[in-house]
Amino acid sequence: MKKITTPTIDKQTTQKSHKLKFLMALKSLRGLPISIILIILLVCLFILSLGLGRYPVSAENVLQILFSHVGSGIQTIITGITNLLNLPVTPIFGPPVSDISNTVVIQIRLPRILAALIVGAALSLAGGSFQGLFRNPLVSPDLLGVSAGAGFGAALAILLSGERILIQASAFCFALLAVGIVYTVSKVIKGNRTLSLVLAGLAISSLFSASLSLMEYIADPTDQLPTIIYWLMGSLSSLNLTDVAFAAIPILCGMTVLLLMRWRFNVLAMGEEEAQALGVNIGRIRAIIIVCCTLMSAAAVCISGIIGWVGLVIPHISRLLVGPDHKRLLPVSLLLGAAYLLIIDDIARTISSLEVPLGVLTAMIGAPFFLYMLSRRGKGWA
Amino acid sequence: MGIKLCVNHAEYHYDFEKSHGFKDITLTLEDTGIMSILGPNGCGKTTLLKCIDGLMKLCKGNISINDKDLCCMSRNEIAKIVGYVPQFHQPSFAFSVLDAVVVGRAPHIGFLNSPKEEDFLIAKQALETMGISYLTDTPYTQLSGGERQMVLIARVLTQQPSLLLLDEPTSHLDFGNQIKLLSILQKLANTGLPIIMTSHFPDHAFLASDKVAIMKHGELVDVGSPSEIMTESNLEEVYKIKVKIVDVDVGVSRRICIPIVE
Repeated sequence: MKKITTPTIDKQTTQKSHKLKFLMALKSLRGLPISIILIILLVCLFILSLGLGRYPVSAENVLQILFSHVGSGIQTIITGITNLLNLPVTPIFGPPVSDISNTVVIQIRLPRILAALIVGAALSLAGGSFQGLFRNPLVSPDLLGVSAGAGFGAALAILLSGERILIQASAFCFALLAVGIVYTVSKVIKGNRTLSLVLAGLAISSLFSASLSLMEYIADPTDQLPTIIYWLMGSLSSLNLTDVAFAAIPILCGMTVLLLMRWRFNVLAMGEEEAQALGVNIGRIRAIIIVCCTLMSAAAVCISGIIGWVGLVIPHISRLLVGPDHKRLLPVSLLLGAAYLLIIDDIARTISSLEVPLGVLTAMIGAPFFLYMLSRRGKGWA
Repeated sequence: MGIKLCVNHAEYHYDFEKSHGFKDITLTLEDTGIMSILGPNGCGKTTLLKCIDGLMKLCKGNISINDKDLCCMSRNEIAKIVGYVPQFHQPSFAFSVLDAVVVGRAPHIGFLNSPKEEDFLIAKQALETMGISYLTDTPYTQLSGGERQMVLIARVLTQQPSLLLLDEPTSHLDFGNQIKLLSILQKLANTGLPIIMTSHFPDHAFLASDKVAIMKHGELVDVGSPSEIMTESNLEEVYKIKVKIVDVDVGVSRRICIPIVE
């Protein structure tokens, strides 16, 4: 922690600042363990999940496989350098073992698990940010039409071609388009901007939902319709590393910006006019948050399909854990969201021989747990 | 410190309803001290304060601070000079009082930064000035209306402005706290911080004002020292009731305003 260096400070204030320092250290300690616990939990979950499934791999083997890949990566670099310098090559790390467990862990499970982590993190961080921006704990990331737009885009692509890349691209573009329309339309509506955004979101969402229904109506019921419905229920199966990497780019960008500016959410939570009185350029900050959240949730939804409930409940549970200060709330939301979706996805793929849709599970497990958490706390709402 | 505020033929009207706006207001404030704005409900006091803080844009005329037009200043620039406390505040999340007060540092903290120890120290000192240090860790949502008002003023002090705008700061306080707040404000004014506040109590203007402005139907009736301006005829004209202004001497000598019920 940084030391205060004010030479002219008198004894009383020095004492006070010592006391304050102590209090602040206590405060940051109170927040610290939970993030560290969550990170450790995430790493353990990650390794366990890689081993989990119909072809079980022990945690030890998972680590071996992971390290062998890291090792071979390093070896490639070393070989490159030594070749460049014309030095004799003595390999330190061997090539990775290629057996069934390697294929299962790296080719099949790793993309899916990475996807669960980034999608969960993206949705709950976007949810937490929107709840701060709209000063309402009941807001979810699809408030401005991301899900409705993505659903329509996916259905359209399924009807037109059914190519997986096209479905993802179309879902992503239409999600952005929907929010773009909402943002533009809300400028025209007179009065409170927050309210006009919510209302425009409502209207545009139902417009896209209606168009989606139309797509479902004209879809081929033996082939296309089940694909659309399956997509809408959310799933992380059949993803490869390239899909995940493409989704990760906008998600990581949005995440970085939101996490860096996270204290500003405390200022925003005071209300629009007061935030302005406190020197906040409300129009600019609102646009930044909406762009980041939309990029993140659109990228998440386009690879996972529609997964509700994570973005609403995880920020809420995080708030119960660490309080409403966004400086701690947003990182905890992110970590908790990643862990939650990973657990849900593990259940989805292992509970039966038939894969359970993710959207179904997030609600079925999330809703009762949420009610339990709410009933457990004495203090008021939010 | 020194601040020069000029309001020049300012006019503002809402497009749906004309009554809450104001027109042709010219005011200058160069000296320190407390200026009270009196006037009946809906005469445009709050709107005027919001315009001085640049939260609402004037329809006509201009407002300048230290000879710089308000329209040419960024929000952050204004917030470093002018602090504004609204009448009501509806809290949304259960922030601790300290977290809610340190938000006042926002104009001094970079966009991607968060408050440091120094900022928390300033916030704590503001809580102490307001005499509410005991509330530091209380959730903001659990405060009474009066406590919340004190917290809001602590927040605006944390902002360290050179001009304070308070919209009916005494309206949610009990009898004792009203007077305590007025004496705190007077102390602040004595340290060289000019304050403009709106009020519904002529007595408060007698108690703690160096200057009074009276508004009616969005127009400025009169500006001047309390004893010059707060006359029976002025108050009767504005509030439409009978009042008596008397000097009392019961150990302390002071001028008070007595409403007459017929």
